[in-house]
Amino acid sequence: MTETPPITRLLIIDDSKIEQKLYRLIVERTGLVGEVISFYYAEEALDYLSSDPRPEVDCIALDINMPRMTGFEFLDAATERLGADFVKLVVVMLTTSLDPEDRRRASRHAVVREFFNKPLSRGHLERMIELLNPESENVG
Amino acid sequence: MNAPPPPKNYLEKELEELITSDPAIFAFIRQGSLDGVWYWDLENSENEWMSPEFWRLFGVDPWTKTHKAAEWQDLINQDDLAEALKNFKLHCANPNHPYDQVVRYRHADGSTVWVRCRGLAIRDETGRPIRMLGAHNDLTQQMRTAEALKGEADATAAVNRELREFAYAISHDLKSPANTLKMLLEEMPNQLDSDMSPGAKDMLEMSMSCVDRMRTLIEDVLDYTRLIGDAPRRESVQLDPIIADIRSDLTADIDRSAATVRIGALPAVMGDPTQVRILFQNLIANALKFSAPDTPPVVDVLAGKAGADGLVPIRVCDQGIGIDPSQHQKIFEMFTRLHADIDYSGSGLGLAICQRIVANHGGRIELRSALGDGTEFTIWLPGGNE
Repeated sequence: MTETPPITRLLIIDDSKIEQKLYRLIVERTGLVGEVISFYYAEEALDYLSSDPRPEVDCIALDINMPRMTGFEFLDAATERLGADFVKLVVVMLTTSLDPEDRRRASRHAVVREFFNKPLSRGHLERMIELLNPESENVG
Repeated sequence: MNAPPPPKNYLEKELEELITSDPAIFAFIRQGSLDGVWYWDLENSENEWMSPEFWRLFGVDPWTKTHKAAEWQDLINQDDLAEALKNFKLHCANPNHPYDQVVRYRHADGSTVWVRCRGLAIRDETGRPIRMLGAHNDLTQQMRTAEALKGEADATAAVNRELREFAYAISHDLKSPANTLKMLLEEMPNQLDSDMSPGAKDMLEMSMSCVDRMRTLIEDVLDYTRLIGDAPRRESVQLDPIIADIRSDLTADIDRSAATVRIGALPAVMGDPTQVRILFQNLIANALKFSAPDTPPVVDVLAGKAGADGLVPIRVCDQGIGIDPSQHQKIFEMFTRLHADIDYSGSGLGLAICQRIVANHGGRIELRSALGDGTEFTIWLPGGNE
């Protein structure tokens, strides 16, 4: 019998086509994610999250440096429009290390729980699962 | 003809009388507006009266000094003294030559005191100078501030130069491995015994486009670093052949998109031919690139009438997707892009480069655009020789 994947729905917000392909490649290989929804623009992800009824999303993997609306702007806008708990979990995906001011800015949002360096790995997905299930984290 | 001077105000007359009758008035002027007064006997040139303020400015107790010209001669900077003596001689020979210079004195604590020293020769009936009246103004604070500012500006320029050289060296050195990598990737299919799987083909294609992006980025950063710092060459540049060259460079893009590029009669501008070329290459390439999907681009390059400031306008207009006014400022910043690479690719440096080139030439760049309504860049550059 098929088990339900531990991450039901993952949103990936990244303006790079190649990055998006790599995300999907890793996610498919691990089988840890049910549905992946990709957005090249943060505004489009915001529209999706605001739709009625509100879609249930476990985790957002968020790029920072994007055209038009940056990852930071997305966090501010989503919090303002949808409330601080607009999603269970956000992980920030980094190309290079984040300077301390940017890290503080992202950490002001309680939903931001981790910073990962690209590319996405199996370990990153396992950490997401831990964060989504705090009880099992205590056991582990 | 100059207008005759107006009659003296009664207060001016009164003050003149007061100065001659009441010594306190001269003392007040001396102390309130001057940092030293001297009065030199040119007939007995070893004699010179110096005011107490004169000495106090140099940290010297006035009562330890005699009224001899020799008293200050070892305190003044010797080069400045030579300059002052030269002016003194010229002023004696010709009252219209001002005795006015900035000289340095050595303060008792060893520091430098900057003084503006002005003087007026008093002459006898025959016009022969017999006395010299002089006044000092302390400029030390201003000179120190100016020196500090210059020091800071020099340091900033040095840091900028270093950063520019660093950016140049890095991008230059990155170019060669990027080119090699591209070659290797192109060679890869030839090395395989069988056909590549669709997945592998996909990977290879992505790798190629990654390397291409890297090469574009390196090229653009190199272009940008070449534009920082040094003043550009200035010569009269005929725009027609440059724009024709650019058009032929872009032939592949123009043909692929079935674009129409219309070029009006263009003037000459004053500038650096290489930079002017990069400027219009970027603008025209953008005009072609940011067209609405499935709509052949239409690009116009037109000149306008020179402004009063001698700058000539050249407009590059398209009928493409346009730019939201809220983004107009942002797009000139380095690495700013408004689109994901699936829609429009680029390094985010093009307009930063344009902005820099225009600034290097003392010109300006204006933008008129709205979403869905085309874009018009107007470049103002100094006019060249027709």
